[in-house]
Amino acid sequence: MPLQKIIRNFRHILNKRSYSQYAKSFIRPIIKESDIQNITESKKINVLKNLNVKPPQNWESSSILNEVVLLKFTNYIMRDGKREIALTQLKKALEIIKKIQVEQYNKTTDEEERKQIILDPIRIVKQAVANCQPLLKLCPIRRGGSVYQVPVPISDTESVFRAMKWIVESSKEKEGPTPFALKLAHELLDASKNKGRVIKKKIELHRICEANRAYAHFRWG
Amino acid sequence: MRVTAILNKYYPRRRYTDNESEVIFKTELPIGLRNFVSGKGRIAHPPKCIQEMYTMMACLKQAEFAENDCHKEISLFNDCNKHLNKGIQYMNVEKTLGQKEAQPGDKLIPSFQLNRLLKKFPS
Repeated sequence: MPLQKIIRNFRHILNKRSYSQYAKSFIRPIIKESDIQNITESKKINVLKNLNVKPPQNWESSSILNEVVLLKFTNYIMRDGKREIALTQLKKALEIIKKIQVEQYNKTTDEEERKQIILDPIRIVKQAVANCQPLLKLCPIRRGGSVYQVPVPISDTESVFRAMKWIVESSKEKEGPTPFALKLAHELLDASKNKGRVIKKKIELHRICEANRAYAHFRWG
Repeated sequence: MRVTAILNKYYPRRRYTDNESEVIFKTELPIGLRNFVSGKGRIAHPPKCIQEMYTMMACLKQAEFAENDCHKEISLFNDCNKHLNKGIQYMNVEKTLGQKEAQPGDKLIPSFQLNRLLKKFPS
């Protein structure tokens, strides 16, 4: 129909991106200090020296709190777009973790035991998320009139998402009038030591996947 | 207000019939074979990475779902899935074969190789 055709053409014009501010030769900036050190040591620097560099994005910075894990974590804690509240809660949790670890460090007398204690709270967060990542997921697939829960491999980004979501959910679920930051801190500490309710949740999922392994070939065909 | 009733008057839609004799086959263009092939055909892949999944599950069950005891199986499973997840499997074929030309004796020839041949030798 002619009217539909006109609308379609018009939409095509609207969606068209007009032009970019920077030419194609411009490269994205390297922000982390550790990445810069690695590049300066390698031979890649000779190529990058003479290229033009874009300015960094508004949210990018080389501060300690600009870790990708923490930025993602704030997003999952956040409600109704209140980012500042979410960030303060996370910072409080990191503070509590630091206090607990330092206390434990001062109590212990053996130097070998002391080395095992991690004092950096961001490293604990990273380890906790890595420990909580599931290997598989369950996908409902309809075959022959009934729905089966089929174990399916999970992508890396999705497994990270699920781990963070579980940590935040379980710290909200805990009973008692204790503040959220305290619950989150304990949950992260437990997960970093490979125990706690989030790890249990992950193992439960793996157990169901193991039980349903007969349906695994439903994914094809 | 519904526009379809009015529009159907001026731009009548196609009527579908069960009667075969009513359908007329028109040839607006001369019939002939084209000089290219479309690469839309989807290859039905056999189930992949399923053996790795079974071995990983067996290892996990033996170790009571502790992942520290079977690093080897997990890494094998994850490496296998990296290519499956993003559908890179077909892209890799293009990368490896893209530079080459089709050789006599090949059983499976990808579409881009065939098109290259047809461009060289039309008719």
